[in-house]
Amino acid sequence: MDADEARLRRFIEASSRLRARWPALATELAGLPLPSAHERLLLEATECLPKTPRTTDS
Amino acid sequence: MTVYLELTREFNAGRTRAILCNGQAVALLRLAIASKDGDWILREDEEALSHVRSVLARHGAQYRFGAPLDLDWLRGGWSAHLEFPWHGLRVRTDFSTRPPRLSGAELEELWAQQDQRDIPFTPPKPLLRIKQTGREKDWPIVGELARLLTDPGEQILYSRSPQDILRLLADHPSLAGELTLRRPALAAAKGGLAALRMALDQDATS
Repeated sequence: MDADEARLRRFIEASSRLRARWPALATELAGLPLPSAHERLLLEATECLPKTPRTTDS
Repeated sequence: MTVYLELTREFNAGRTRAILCNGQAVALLRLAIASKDGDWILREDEEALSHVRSVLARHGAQYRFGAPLDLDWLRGGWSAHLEFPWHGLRVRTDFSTRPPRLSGAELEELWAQQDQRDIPFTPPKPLLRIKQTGREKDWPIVGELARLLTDPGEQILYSRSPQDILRLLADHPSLAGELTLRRPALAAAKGGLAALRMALDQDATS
C-alpha cells in the first residue's frame, strides 16, 4: 500500500498546476459543447499537466 | 443503475470499448444495491476514445477536474472525469485505460473475457485488485469479493476474514506454506483466531 500512496501522491503533485487553474477553466469549459471543451482542455493540459507523472519515488 | 447500463451499451455499440468497473461492477455482482458514479476501463486506442467522447457529447457532458479523455494522458495512468444531467440527476462518469494494480497481462485477460458481452464488467478478481486501495472503506468490499473467488488459494490470499481463512486452511492444508510466503500474515493462523485477526489488521498487502 506504500506504493499506492506514493502513486496517489505522484498524481496529486503532478496535477497541482491544473488544479490551480481549474476554477477559471471550469467556468470557461461550462459554456462550450464537449468537442470544443475537449480541445480547450487539451491545450491547457499540454501546458500544465505532465502526460506521465514522475517523482523520485516512482 | 439504468443510465450506467445504457451508457455502457452506447459506448460499446459495434465494438467492445468500455468495461464497467468499481461501484457499478460491485452492484452487478450484487454486493451493493447501487453506486452513485460510473467508472469504465476503456480500450487504449483512438477510435474507442473518440466514440466515447461522441456519446458523451450527445448527452451534453462537461468535464470535471481531471485529465482530458485523450490517449496521451490515459496512457500515463491519468483518469478523465465528466458529468451530465439526466432526469434531474447528475450522472458522473470516470474513465481510465490503466487502472491501478492491474498488470498488462491481467488487463489483456480482462478484455479477452469481457469482449462481446452485453454489459462488460470487471469480475471479482480484477475488481478486487482495483479495490485494494489504502482506504479502509474499501476493505469490506475486498473481503466480500474474495468470497466470490472460486480458487481456494486465491480466497486465502485475498480474504479479510480470519474465520474464512482458518476454515480454508483447514480444508486445504497443503496450500499454507506457499501462500504464507506470498502473504506473511497467514503465519499467524497457527496462533488461532485472535492472532490471525491482529495480523490481518496489520497486513499492509491484504
